[in-house]
Amino acid sequence: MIGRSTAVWLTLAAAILVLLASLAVCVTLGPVHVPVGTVLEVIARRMRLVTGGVTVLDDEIVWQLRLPRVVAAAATGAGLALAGAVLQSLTRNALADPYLLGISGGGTSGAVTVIVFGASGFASLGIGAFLGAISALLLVFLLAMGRTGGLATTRTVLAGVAVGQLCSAYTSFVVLVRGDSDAARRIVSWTFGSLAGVRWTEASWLAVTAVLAILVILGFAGWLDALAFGEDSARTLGVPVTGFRWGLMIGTSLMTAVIVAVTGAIGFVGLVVPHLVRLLFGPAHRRLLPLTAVCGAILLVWADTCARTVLTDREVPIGVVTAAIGVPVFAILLRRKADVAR
Amino acid sequence: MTELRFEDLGWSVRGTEILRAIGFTVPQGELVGLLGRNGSGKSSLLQLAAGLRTPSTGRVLAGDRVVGELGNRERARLIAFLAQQADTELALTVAEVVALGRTPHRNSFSATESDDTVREAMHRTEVAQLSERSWSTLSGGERQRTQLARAIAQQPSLLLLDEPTNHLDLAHQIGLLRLVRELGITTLTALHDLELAAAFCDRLAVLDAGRLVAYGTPDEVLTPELLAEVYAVSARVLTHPITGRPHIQWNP
Repeated sequence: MIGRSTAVWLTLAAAILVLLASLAVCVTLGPVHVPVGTVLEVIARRMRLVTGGVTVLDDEIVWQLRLPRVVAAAATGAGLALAGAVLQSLTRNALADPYLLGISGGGTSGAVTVIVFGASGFASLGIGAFLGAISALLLVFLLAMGRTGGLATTRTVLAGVAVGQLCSAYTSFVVLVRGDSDAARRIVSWTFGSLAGVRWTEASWLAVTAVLAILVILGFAGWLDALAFGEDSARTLGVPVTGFRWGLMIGTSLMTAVIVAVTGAIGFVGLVVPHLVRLLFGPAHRRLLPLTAVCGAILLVWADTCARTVLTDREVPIGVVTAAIGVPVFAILLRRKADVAR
Repeated sequence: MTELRFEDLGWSVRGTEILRAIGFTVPQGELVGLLGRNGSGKSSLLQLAAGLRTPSTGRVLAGDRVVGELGNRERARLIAFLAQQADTELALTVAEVVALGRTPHRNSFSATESDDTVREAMHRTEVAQLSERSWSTLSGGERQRTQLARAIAQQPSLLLLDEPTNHLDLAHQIGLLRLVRELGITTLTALHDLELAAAFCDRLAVLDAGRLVAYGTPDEVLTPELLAEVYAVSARVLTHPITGRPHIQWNP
């Protein structure tokens, strides 16, 4: 019999292979089918491993359009899922997700402000969303911070909900007063998230953010485990709880703000992927965190591919796809686990 | 091994005095029972000893070190604390819970479930055969023994237990206290059951409304006068024919 730990490492290795295969396959899919061989050739040529042999069109489609997009999708999925896992453990709240702290609401407000009042470029939208997300975050921390400088769980969650509501009220108001139908449509599509138009600049931002986040957070897996029995228990195990909580809240929030700035608010990944992995492989963070990141990446790579290929004349918001894929899978797993447990 | 000393310890919360002028020493390697009615300050005293709260006056010494001045990790290597009714919603296995005790001894990247210290701790508390069981499926007694194994895996010099025998059947109550005594670690434990305290503890400390009203061997402490004063009950105290320890008979 294989031990539980070995089984999990094999699963992780398998999941990474699935992710790589998904990346390769998804690049071939689209209005123009590009065979896997051609994809590899394009990449090899760009890496200066081979010369010649591919058409300008293939190079354009693979290298300029699809590759940055699948990389961005993988990084986004990994980052959001990881943020969800961390925040769920940190707040001991099963409903926690990366947008818990008003980040998505703040990001939307920032983006809306840019769309309605100002420039329409991709970059300025991103900057507006990032600034909005960070402002919302500061407001949440300000509201939640105790007299002793601690960040109490329930108060933080409530503050996040309150600020989120405030942001959505602002968004509705601005759209109603200033927006035309075109602005309204762009805002709706933004709130469901989209990776349309992502190029290497954005993709590399996301990739660096996700990889950094994974490396840093894995170093704290033991401390996250120690929080299982509450703060006092973690303190008696040597965890500096107050500082740890601040660090993780700020870190995951900044990461989410970067993601939101590029992709809009993609729901569901951060909420459901960690639960799914926990149901299947247990809650110990040393295994949960890497598996969550990889599974989140796989989910979003496929979700984004669906988003851009299902309809021929336009893109479906990716949040619609993540919900459509994720909810049934999650429901089946929940039912099955419930049968096993009782 | 090291002794635990309270020096003129006081603790107030927003002007309400919870503990006042507590001073006594738990000698090295001894098992000392902390008695008193609900709300007398037992849990607070243990939390102060664990470094979870900051005293308003006085200090707690672990050996020659002031607990409040220790770093987090250093304190966790010295003192293990078993809170009342520790619980989690996460489906951690017994082995994983026990491995939490290694947190202050390792860096985050090292695997721990296979650690010898963890395995030995599970054997001592007889939870080794449960090691792959999920926390939510454990009985109260199994949970308490798992938590004790976690504390043992922490390899502390001081052990603080907050009513560890709560929700255990008689056999497990006796088994747990016998095991704690065999560990030989300096231990302060809050207890409700005076018979158990009399039978297992080297010394007893009695709190009443946040003050220390008695400290000494079970013989010295468990007198009809003290029981009347602290617990407001009338009782006779006999000597147990086999152990020679005090044995209480309540007058209903």
